[in-house]
Amino acid sequence: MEALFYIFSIIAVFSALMVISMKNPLTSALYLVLCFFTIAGFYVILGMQFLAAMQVLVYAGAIMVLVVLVIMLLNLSKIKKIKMDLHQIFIAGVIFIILLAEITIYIINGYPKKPTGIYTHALINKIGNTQILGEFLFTKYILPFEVASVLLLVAIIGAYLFAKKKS
Amino acid sequence: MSINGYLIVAGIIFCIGMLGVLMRKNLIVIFMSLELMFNAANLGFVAVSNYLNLIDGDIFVIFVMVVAAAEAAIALGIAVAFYREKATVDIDKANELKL
Amino acid sequence: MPIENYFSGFPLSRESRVFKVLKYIPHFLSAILGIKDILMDAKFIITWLIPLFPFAGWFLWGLFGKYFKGYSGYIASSFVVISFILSSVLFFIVSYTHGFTTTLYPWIHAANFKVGVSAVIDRLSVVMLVMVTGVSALVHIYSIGYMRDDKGFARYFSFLNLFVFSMIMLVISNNLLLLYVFWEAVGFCSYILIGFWYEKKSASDAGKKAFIVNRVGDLGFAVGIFLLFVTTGTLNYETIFKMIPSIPSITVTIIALLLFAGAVGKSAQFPLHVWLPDAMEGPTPVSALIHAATMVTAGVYMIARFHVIFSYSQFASEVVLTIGTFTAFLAAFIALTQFDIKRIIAYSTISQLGYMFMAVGIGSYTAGIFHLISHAIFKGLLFLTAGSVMHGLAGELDLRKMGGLYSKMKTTAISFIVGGLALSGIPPFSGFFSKDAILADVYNKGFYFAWVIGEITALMTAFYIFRLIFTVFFGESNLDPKVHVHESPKIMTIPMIILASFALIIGFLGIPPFNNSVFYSFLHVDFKNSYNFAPFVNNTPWYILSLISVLAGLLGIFIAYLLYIKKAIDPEKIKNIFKPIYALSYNKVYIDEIYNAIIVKPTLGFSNFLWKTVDVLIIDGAVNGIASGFAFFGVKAKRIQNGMLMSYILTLTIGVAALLFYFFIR
Repeated sequence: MEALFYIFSIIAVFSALMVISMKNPLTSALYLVLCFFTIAGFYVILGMQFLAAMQVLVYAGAIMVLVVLVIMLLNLSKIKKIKMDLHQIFIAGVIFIILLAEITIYIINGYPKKPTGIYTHALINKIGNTQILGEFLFTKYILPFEVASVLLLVAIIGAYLFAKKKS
Repeated sequence: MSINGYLIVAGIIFCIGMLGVLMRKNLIVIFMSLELMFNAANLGFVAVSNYLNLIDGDIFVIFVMVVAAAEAAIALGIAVAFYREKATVDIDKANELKL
Repeated sequence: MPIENYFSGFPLSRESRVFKVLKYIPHFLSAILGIKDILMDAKFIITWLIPLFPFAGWFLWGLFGKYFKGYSGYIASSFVVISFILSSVLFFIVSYTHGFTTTLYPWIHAANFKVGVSAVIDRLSVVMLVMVTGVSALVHIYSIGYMRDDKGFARYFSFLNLFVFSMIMLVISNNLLLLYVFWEAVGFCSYILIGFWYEKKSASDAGKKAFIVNRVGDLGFAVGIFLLFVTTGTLNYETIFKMIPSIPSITVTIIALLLFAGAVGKSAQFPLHVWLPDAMEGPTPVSALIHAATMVTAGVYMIARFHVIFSYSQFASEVVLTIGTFTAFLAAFIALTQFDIKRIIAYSTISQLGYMFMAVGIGSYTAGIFHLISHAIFKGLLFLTAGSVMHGLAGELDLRKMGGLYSKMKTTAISFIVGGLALSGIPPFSGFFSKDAILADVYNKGFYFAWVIGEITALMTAFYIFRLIFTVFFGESNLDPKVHVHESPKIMTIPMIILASFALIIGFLGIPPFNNSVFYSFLHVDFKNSYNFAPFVNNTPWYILSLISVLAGLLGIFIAYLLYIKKAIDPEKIKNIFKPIYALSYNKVYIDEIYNAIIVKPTLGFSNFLWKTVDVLIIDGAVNGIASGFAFFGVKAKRIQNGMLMSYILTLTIGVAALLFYFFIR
């Protein structure tokens, strides 16, 4: 398992770096799909197969298809390349290093909290993670679930309005 | 295998996503960098939830996915509208936010 | 007042039938209206009707003057005449009974501090009331003719009525707060009437000058009132007078001097007299009413009213005497060489007010008030006749351009001569009795220096007024031939004739001379509380002192006769001999110039400094500096708000990093 984790980690970080460094957005999108798949792999390691499936379906499937569609729609690979600003890259790099250092130190130095829940790995495997998630979603989190459906509806209408050609 | 490994990976991906947001000028790439940051946060949720023997973090991941889907629809709509307006996806051309 | 007092009989002598009828008026009223609250004392009704009529007049002409047109003058005059009649009724009531206090309504009641709109009606105030309303009524009637063609006719009568109202209230008020309010109100009316022809710059300037100079005195007056209130805890006259003997004398002296400062301003005494000659820019009836007969005498009245305070402070009284004597001399000296007829009379007013202050300064309050009354009549007369001359000569004021008017306007001339004789103190005119009463008291109380100055002033007074009379009414005419000289209409001459006859007869109230006179025994009752700080030291018989005064007056007239009728001596020669003295007198002792140099200029300079340096540079600079500082930082901060999406994200990220750092080091 640990070997798997390290492999996934390396692929994930590499593909993430590729996403932001590729000049062609289409290549970036493909590396992003790869990154999403590795994250789905992490979910599987953590025992959340349902989430991994969702990750592949929603992110790697739906969202990335949408992105690639837009890239093709706008024909981005053919229009002139946007030049990057060195000055901006420098500032971004400094902030990146500072933030990364902070997060790392924060995580390493953070005093560990004792597990409080009852849903151990064994229990989840026994009941099945899909069932547990479903129970939670339709009991404790029923209201956010309903609101999320409204949010999706709003997003559909908004996207239509934005993308609509002006008459 | 401690939780710290997952969290550090999540942190690195998050920071890379932010680097992309700050560094790149292509609207679509920035959008994809944002998706990276979402996923890093999701990974953190799942890892912590697993460590604490809770389910709530996983539920949150589902909601984040919903929001990300909605955001993707809107953001790409904006990208299309922006391109139609400016004939480019350079974020530096989006400088009309001032009064 | 308790309700049963309304029924408790009328406190009048039983013999008086007229008042027995009056006594039942309240009963009739109650019977008719059936409301007991309306049932009031007849005294109360009469007292408050007196100021009500002029007040109503002010209100009416002020708001609806243009609808009344020319009638406003007649109605305003009749209002004041009604006030005069009521005052006379009150005069007889008080003469037959005793004084009283009546309250219209309680004004301020806070804990121990009680001030009401209340009137003190004693012999002093009824004498003043009759004088004020009487002269006012005549001046109102005279004004109908004088102001006939003025476009501000209704406005004029509105202000005049307001003045009469304020003056009545000033005279009858029984506490210092009310007194101060109307003290300022008459000052305001004076200001507004001096500047009545406000299109003329000299008139509006004179109004401002009068107002500002009065401020100086009124500041002292106000501080005096504050000090009095702090010391005694009350503003009511009676209470204050009861407490005065127990107050340390130094405090009484300071209070008296501060109150006297107000009197100096209002009555145009020496340091603050400069406004009165300039006040002649106003209409002549205003000069007659306000600046001769009534308002300027308010200072004398005030000291007479506060005789208790002044008599307990010998030092303050001596200051009053000194200022009065000096002013009397100074003003008469200036009047010798002036050419503006109204200004001569104005300086004469200042001089005569100086006599009154001499009287109140030596504790002869009745003599002061007697001279006040007789002066009000003959000086009002002089001003009205001067106005009549102006009216006949189309506004001419310079006496070098007059002469030989006697044959053309006989009534005016004779009235003027009567006024001049009264002013000069020639028997049997009123000035003789009243001025002699003062000078005799001054001599017999041992103030010989003041007496000598007073006699010299009397000589100068006779000279300058007869210089005026001889140049204007006799001698050859220097008139502008284009001017059609005419006698004034009846509505102007009749008040003059009435005043002239009063100037002739009012003096006989002063016989037998000295402290046995009718007037003295009538008014003396009110001054019995005063402390006799200046007892009589001589017992010189009145006829000797009177003879000297009359001789001084006759000498003055004779000199004027020699110079201007006989032409025995050329005035120009005398002018050349006494050139520095002439120049001093002609230029009004340079007091205006001195004030300009030592007060006005430095004040202007300092104000300019405050304006241009302190206000514009420092205060405005600070305010503008703060504003421009914010504007500067705003311009700088505007760059943050550059509309670039990237920079917003950058700022956001830096914020997140900083926040994390903060959590980390916490």
